[in-house]
Formats: sequence, structure tokens, C-alpha cells
Amino acid sequence: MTLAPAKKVSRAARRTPRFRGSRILIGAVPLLVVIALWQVAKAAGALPFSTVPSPSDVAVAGYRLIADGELVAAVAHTLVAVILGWVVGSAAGLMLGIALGASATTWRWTMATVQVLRAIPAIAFVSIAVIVFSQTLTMEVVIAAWVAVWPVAISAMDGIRDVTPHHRELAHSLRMRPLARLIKIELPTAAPNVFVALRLSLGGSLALAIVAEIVGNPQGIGYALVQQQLALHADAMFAYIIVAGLIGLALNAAIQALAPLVPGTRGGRS
Amino acid sequence: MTTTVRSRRPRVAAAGWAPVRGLVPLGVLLVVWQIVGMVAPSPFFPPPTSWPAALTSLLPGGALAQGILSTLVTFAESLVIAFVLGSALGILIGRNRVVSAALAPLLDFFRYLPAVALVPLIVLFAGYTQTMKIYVVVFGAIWPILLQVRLVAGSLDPILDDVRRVLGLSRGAGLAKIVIPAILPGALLGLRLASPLTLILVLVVEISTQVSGLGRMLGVAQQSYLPAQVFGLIVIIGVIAILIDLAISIVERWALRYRPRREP
Repeated sequence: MTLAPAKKVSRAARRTPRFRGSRILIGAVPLLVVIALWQVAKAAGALPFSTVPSPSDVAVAGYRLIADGELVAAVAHTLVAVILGWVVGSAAGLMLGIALGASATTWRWTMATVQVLRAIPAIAFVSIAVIVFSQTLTMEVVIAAWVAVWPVAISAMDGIRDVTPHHRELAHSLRMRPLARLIKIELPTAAPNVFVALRLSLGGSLALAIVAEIVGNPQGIGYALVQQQLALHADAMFAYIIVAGLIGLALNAAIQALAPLVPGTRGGRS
Repeated sequence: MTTTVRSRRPRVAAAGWAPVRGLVPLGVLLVVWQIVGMVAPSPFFPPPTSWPAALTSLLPGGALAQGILSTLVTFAESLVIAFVLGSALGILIGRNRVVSAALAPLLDFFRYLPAVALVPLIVLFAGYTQTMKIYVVVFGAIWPILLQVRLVAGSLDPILDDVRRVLGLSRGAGLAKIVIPAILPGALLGLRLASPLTLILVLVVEISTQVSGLGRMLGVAQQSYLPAQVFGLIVIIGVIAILIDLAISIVERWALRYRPRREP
């Protein structure tokens, strides 16, 4: 009991950030342990499903997919769809958000509509997109864009509404034109909000592009997963899923790297 | 001490719900759609009045009602399991700094892995059953809850530990009376994030495996090229999504009713 305070201090001291190196090291240990255990369990036949591949099977399958170019083609297709959809959707969302955030009146007269449209799970629109655009890249891009529109629109709208009265007066006394006000005051105010939304919507675009590939467009990672499932190639499916996770990580890291360029963001992790 | 001041603030519905006038643009859109659809019919965008008629073919034998029920049951079961399991794992991992740091890369991987990619894999192992649906959805929906709880559990005020010791509570009692109430807001935030994801996963599983539910109906309507039916189902799914959102915010408000509201 009496020792408690001293212990507290040492705990607080330990809270200080350590070297990045040791962090990576400590993170790598369980990863390797899990892989080793998995391999051993597979060899001992202790896994619940006999069809679960061992890590070495997955590695071999992954290597084979890379060697014959199948994986690279699938990844390239998915990335093109995701990025196109995300850019188009974010741009549309930004414009919509600026338009809706322009005045309290537009906000009042549109907010519920935006909330309703946003609430409908985007996946429900995949079916209609497949009917309208058939099984094409356009279909995938439209779906990936639709997901990106709403978070960006709402964040831009909220951000613009966050402009302080002080700044509004400043714009007024400098006789800024609406465009100048938008560029110099409203967008910088909204920037941190919008940046977070852009990150969220990039993840959403990736997920929906993969759904569109699973359900409709016969290309990319989603379709490859379905193909491997039908062929009962669990090892190749694991390889594709690992790649999908790495793409998610990489896209997030890429956008995070842009954080220092955005006014109002600290560039730190969130 | 005994006089508790209760500030009765006007109950604001779910965030940002402007009054009905905000729905005017949606109404205008539907009316324009209707008029254009009658003047120049398009095979892809049937006018809204034709949607209910297209749904009537799903009514015999209660197929539509069964589909809705099946989707809702899968949704509720998965979300409850994900919430309980995710909170428990989140506390276990978050309360131990070494474990938390060690698992960080793995957890990051699952956080950024699009959960929908797991659908085909788990289907391969678990087969085309109701149990499979729940496996897939729980596995995908657990991450926002687990990560949120881990974050909150890892940053609990160390004083709370002292409070437990001073009060002479056992670890179990401390968990029930101190830790769980402290992480509840974080867990509920995770629940809020996980709930739309759960609905999406349920629908994806249903569309791609065609076992049962609204997703199966969507997939069938798409393959039979019935856009009016697809739009009708989208409306139903949208209504369900909004009701779920409302239900979650009611649960949230009820569970946190003992806390003073910070935001107006």
C-alpha cells in the first residue's frame, strides 16, 4: 500500500515515448510467434478446419501469384478504381459541402436530405449500379465515389460553418469577394475536418471497390478472391487478403504523409 | 447533497437532424424523377411510383417480411456478440501496455483491412449457413469496438487504480464498478462506428452468398434485371439503417444517462 505512489511515478516515467526501433521490435515478436504457432499447429493437424493452409503454403501461393503477374494486375485494377472513385467522390463532396455550408438557410433546407442519403448503406446501390453500368470499371468508380461524397461533404459543410464571427468580420472589412473568402478563410478553417473525412472516405472507397468487384465487376482483388474461393484455393485467398490489408495500410500511410501540408493539422497520428 | 439539480435540456434527436423542411430537396428529387420517368421512361430509372408495385411480387408467403427479419436478426446477433467480445478483448489488451504495444501492428493491419475482403474466405470455411453469416460479420465488425475500447482502457487515469485500492475493492469489483463504467463511453462510440459497418457486412454476405435476407433479395432482383424492385429494396434498407441509427443513439443516451452532457 505504502509503495503505491512511488510505483505511480515510475509508471508515468515509462509513459514517455521510446525509440521507434524498439516499438517495431516488440510489435514483430507476436507476429512471428503467431506465424510460427500457426505453422506448427498445421503440421500437427491441430487446426479446426483441415483446409486452412499453413503460412508457408500462403507464402508459396503469394509468390506464385506475383510470379505470374496475376496479383499485380488485380492490385493495379483495384487501386485505379479506388483512387479514381475517391478523387471524383471527394471533389463532388467538397463542392456539395461548400454549396450547402454557404448559409444557414441552405443548411436548414438540405441537412435532412443529406443525412437520409448518407444513411443508406452504399452497398445497397451496388445492385442498381450493376444494372445501369453493367460490369465495368465505371460501375466500380461510381460506387467508390458515392461512398466518398458524404463524409467529405459533411465535413466541409461543418468546417465552413465553424468560421468564427471574428473571421467573418475580417473578411467583410477587407471587402473580400466570395471566392477570395472561400479560398482564404472558409477552406483553411474547414481543412482539418475535411482531411479527416478524406482519410475515412479513402478506406470506404477501398472497401466498396472490393465489394463491387466481389458482386459485379469481374476484375481486381474482390473478383480474384471469389475466383480463388470457387477453386477452393484457401492459400491464395489468404495471400490476397494480406495484400488487401497492406493496401489499406499503405493508402492510409500515404494520406497521413500529406498531413503536414494541411493547415491546422498537426501532422500527428490520430 | 440530497438536492440533485436536474437540468432538463430539450431533447435533441440524432446529430444534425434538421426539421422536416430539410427533406424538401429529397422530395423535389423524387417528384422530378417521377415526371421525367413518365415523360421519357428509362429502363434503368423507373419512376418512384412503380417501386411499391415491384415489391408486391415479394409479398406472397411473407418473403419480404422474412427477408427483413432475417437481416435484422443477423445484424442484432452479430452486433451484440461483437460489442461484448470486442469490449472484453479491448479491456484485456488495453490494460496491459506491453501486450498493447506488442499487438499494435496486428491490430493496425485489421483496422485498415477492408472487412468485406474476408467474406469469401470465411464462407469457404464455414459454408453457406446462418452461423457463417454471423462469423463473418462479427469478425469484420469487432475491430472498431476493440480498438476504441483498447484506446480508452489504455489511457484510463491511473488515479482510478488508486481509488480501487483505497476503497479496498477486489480486482473483479474494480472491473465492474470502475473500469467498465469508465470505458463505457468509448465502447459506445465503437458501437456507433461498428453499427453501419455491421449492416454493410450483413448485406454483403447476403448478396454474395445468397443465403437469405434483404441482401439476397437485392442480388436476385439485380440478376433478374428488376431496377424498380432494387430501388424499392434500397428504400427499405435506407429506412432500416435510419431506424438502427436512431436505436443506437437511444441506447447510447440511456447507457450514459448518469453523465452530465458536455455538448449542448
